Amino acid sequence: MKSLKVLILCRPPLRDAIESYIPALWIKEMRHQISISAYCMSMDRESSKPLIERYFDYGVEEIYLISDKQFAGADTFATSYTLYQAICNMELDFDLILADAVSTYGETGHIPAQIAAFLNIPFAINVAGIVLAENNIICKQIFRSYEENISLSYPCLLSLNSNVDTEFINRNCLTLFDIMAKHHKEIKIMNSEQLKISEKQCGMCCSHTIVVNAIKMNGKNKHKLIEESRDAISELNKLIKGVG
Amino acid sequence: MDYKLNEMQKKIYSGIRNFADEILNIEEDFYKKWKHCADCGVFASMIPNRVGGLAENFSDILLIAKMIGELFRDSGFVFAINNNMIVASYLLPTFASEVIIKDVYPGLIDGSLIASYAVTEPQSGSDVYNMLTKITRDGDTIEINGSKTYISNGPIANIFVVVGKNEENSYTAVLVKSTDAGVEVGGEIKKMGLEKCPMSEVFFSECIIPKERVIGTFSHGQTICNMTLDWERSLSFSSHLGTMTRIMNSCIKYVNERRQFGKTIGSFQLVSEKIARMKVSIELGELLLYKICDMKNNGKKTFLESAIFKYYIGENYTNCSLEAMQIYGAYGYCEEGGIEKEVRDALAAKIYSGTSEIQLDIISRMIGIKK
Repeated sequence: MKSLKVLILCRPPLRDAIESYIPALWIKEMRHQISISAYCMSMDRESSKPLIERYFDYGVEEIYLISDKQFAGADTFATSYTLYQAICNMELDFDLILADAVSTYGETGHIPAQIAAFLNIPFAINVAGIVLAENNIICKQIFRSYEENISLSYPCLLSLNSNVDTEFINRNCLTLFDIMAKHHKEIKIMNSEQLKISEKQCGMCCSHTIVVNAIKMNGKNKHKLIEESRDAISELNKLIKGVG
Repeated sequence: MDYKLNEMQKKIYSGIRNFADEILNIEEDFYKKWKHCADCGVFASMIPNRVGGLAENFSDILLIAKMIGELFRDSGFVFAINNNMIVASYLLPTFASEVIIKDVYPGLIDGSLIASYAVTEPQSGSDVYNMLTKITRDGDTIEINGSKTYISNGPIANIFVVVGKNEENSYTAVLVKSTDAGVEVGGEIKKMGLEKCPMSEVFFSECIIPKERVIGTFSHGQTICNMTLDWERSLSFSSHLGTMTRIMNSCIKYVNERRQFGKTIGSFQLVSEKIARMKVSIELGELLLYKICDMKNNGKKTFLESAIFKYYIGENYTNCSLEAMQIYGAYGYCEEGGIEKEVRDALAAKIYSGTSEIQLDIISRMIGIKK
């Protein structure tokens, strides 16, 4: 395999939460071995654009934000279907789809598995490390009480474990090519009309699980930022060096 | 005109800081450092996008020059980058033909080519146009005879921009490769500072090159030389402004930690006053730099402003390093402290790119004093 077309599926990351960018950092590192075209897709409100924009810094060519009021209230099934439609709509024939483990609201859960089912491609969960081979990809999976290595053929979808293999990102450092090239890039918004998804196929209408009640917080959730990460990469490197 | 870094420039600063801390400042070997810079995009970031780089305007280049001056610990290495960039970020993009651009820019961006600007001769330093190097036309070729001295990057350069006198008694600028027949690079000239930027003589003896290597038109050399000198003063001294910031920050840390007579030495007004003066000169230098950026971005001539900038920063950079040594005391005088190197590297700033005295002369002429 001479080149790889990779899609990162992510939820809008927490500000400077490096875990959210690990798929992109992996890709950046894998570029030493193989030519990679990387794309990123996320589903949220348009106001989350600044949060996923940082993926450009890590060398992602295009970012797609799936955003429409009609998507609001979508459960796992509805979200997966919408993302599946968006992937089909891109018509890019991805070799590899990487889904991050952590989102703003916690673990990403079963969405990647459902997307893989829709796409009818091999799938692995809790992936903590990968090795690219000529016709397949070797994945290290970490479960609560054991680890194992498996092989998957392309195309496939991998859902990452929060405790990923940090060897991949040990030597990473953003280049000025990454930072300055981003200047001309814009996040592409895709709505239900562009994805040709009707109201009945998405959001609350398509969701089988429904929130029946929620307790509203009394007053504003006040908090104060007392220490800010100077730079995510730098902080991560310090952490890694400390562990190593 | 905005007097602060925009969002993109803040990210660039953060990227360069990480690169400097984690890779560049740890590496000692010159060529490995050079390659790291190329891989990180430092060269590309200081080269205009119209010739394949990443810089969109003059502000990008000058502010990045300031950043590397602050964040790259070795001022000699920064000086080598800037001598490369005098040619790569301005002279060639502004004056060279497409043939030359296509020939050299891939190498200037990936770091496989190092450029040098060769103007000074033994008898023509401040009196720059008293040069004796001859550049003559002969059909489709150009012949160069003469010698240049105090050429920064001389021993490591692959390409030289050489300015000489032509048979029409005007000046011509040409691109010469170190591999061209008739080019000989002299031994390294030892100097008291800026060790990572080697300096040498370069000799040209019946050096024949194709006429396509002429930069601009054949008689365009003096304009190229003047405008490049203007750029050199803006570029190199932007880095020095960054270095002044690094020295000041180092002094602040030191005076807040070092204790004498039972208190930190920063609490003594005669000590803190020195650092406050550094801050004043940095702040005023930044104002001048932003003014130059704005004027250059708007296509205005900055010959007066760059002379003022060169003079102001040259003088204050030197003072700043000497005051830092005074603050550090005996430790500053010792090699271990790192400040003595800053002093050795700073002292030449009053000399190169036109001495401080020459800058004052330029300024006085440009404000209307008849000579």
